[in-house]
Amino acid sequence: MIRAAKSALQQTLDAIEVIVVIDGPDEETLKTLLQIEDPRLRVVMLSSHLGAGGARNAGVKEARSQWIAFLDDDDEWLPQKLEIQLQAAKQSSYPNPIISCRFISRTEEGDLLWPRRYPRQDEPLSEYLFCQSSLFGGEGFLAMSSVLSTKVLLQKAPFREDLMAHEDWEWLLQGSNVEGAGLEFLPSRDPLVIWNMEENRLRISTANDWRYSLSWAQTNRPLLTPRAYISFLMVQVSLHAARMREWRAFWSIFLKACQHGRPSLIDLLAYVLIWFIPQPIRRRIVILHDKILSPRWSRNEGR
Amino acid sequence: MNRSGFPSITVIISTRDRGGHIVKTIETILENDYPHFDLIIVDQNEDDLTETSLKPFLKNPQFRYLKSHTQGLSAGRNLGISHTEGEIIALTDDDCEVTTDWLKELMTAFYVDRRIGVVFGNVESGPHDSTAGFIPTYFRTEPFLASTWREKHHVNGMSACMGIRRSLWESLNGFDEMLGAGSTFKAGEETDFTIRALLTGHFVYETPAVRVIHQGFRPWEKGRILIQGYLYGTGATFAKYLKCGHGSVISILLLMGWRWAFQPPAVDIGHRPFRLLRLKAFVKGFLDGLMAPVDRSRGHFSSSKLFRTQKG
Repeated sequence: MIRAAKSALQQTLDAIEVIVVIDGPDEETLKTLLQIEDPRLRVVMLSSHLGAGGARNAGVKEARSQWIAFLDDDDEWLPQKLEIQLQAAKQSSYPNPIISCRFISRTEEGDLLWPRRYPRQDEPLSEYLFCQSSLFGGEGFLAMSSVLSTKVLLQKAPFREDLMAHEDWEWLLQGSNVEGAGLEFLPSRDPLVIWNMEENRLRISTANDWRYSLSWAQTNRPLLTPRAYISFLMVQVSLHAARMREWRAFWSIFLKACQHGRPSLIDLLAYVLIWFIPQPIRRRIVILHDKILSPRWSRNEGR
Repeated sequence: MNRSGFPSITVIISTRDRGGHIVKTIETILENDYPHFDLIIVDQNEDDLTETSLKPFLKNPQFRYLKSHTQGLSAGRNLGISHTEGEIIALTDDDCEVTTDWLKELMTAFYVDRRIGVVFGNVESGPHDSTAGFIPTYFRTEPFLASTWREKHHVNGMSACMGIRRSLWESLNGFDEMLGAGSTFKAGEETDFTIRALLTGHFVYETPAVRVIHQGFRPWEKGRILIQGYLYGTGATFAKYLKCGHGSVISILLLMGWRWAFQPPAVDIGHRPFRLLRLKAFVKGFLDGLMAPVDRSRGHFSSSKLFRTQKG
């Protein structure tokens, strides 16, 4: 928590306000935060626990500036994050852009650089987020801590407060549909955010049930293309089910996905891998793959 | 400084035989808007051409000038670094120009992981006539974090765009002064520093976000000499590790051998492999390295005056 707040205050962009929203009464956190002496820091403590969506909305309401960036309490920003993103936001072709950047997904097993690729021209956002073209994951992944947008957009399309999970995906899908809004990535391939997945993983696995993810996808069918819907079931829903070792779900998720079309070969392979190879081992394989096949440096090619 | 907590950076440039051309390098560095940096020029020239051209900068509080009678790039850099307190040391060459966000990007790179001790950036070439010659460059499109010495073959950056944590420089006793341009073994100081950093558990990060523009034009016929020097230094470096008891680095050598035999070379000049030339230079460097006295406690070649004059 302190690490996150400090990384927000220690930015090369000086003129910022940092609003920490404590989701529900927590005197201890409040006390530690008040020890940071910086006039740019403001702390808002909610009287009851609202969840991620409600807490973010409360922060937006509190914000005085036109641009807003989010940071979850496990994550860190690198010092130039806001400066580089703000510059890109001001040059954006959208009046209300959603600016994202690459981030380091960090676990005990090692680091990965996500998203692996940026959206293709005219690719629907839901397909970018959920459909993969390789088995190595993290292709179209977006972490809320890497997003910067405008207050106007966040007021037009606030976060849903009644969701246990996936409020961030729903916001991205809804928000990017708003007139004058759109998702853009920084041209740079360098990460600006550290996403500490270990801590996130714990939180997700306790709060998130695969049935919940399934019903979220079912209610939000209009936001997803059929391909994205199938991939979401095959990958995201099965990730939760496999993590909880709910073998009964193995066939039911697969059959539910098949009702809406044929899963792609990649989806099928991913499904098998997710169910039969434990997560830490999968992660190690991906890290090894990325290290070995990382684009080669070159010396002297006349650039 | 109200943006408290950013590390202080010292830029070190060791210069020789560049006359007044270094002024352009200095100007681009001073254009950086990083709030907390200074610049030290170590002048190893015998004449005072460089000194005269630097007069206008002497009033600048961020600028320091050191005249030195040391020889070799590594000795010059060590001297410069020992005169400062910067937590991060930024290195470039006297024939490079840096971008205005060079220092900010360099600092950001160190935040990627606390264990990063060395950062390399891209060295791009300035405009030049590629029919007449070339400019040594280093280029990668994706960042890479090397966390063990087994990943050494992924990181081959040049000291023309390099950042070092000062504490690492201290614990490695600085650059080996027998390696690097103008020294006995002619080259290899960054390779040596990288390997020793990895061997002591530090990470090495390479990122295209940190960039310098290299203006060091060389005619094509000088390519052979450059390669010769580079592999001579590399050979000596590996001989040193064997003498220091780091037998494990042999596997780095095997990977290099693979590249030598089957892949385009690390220093690719005009797409000619020069395989025999490389092998000869490497073996010569390796044998000379085995003969040279080594100070095992410091992990350096012993730079005795006698040895230096012998090899001339």
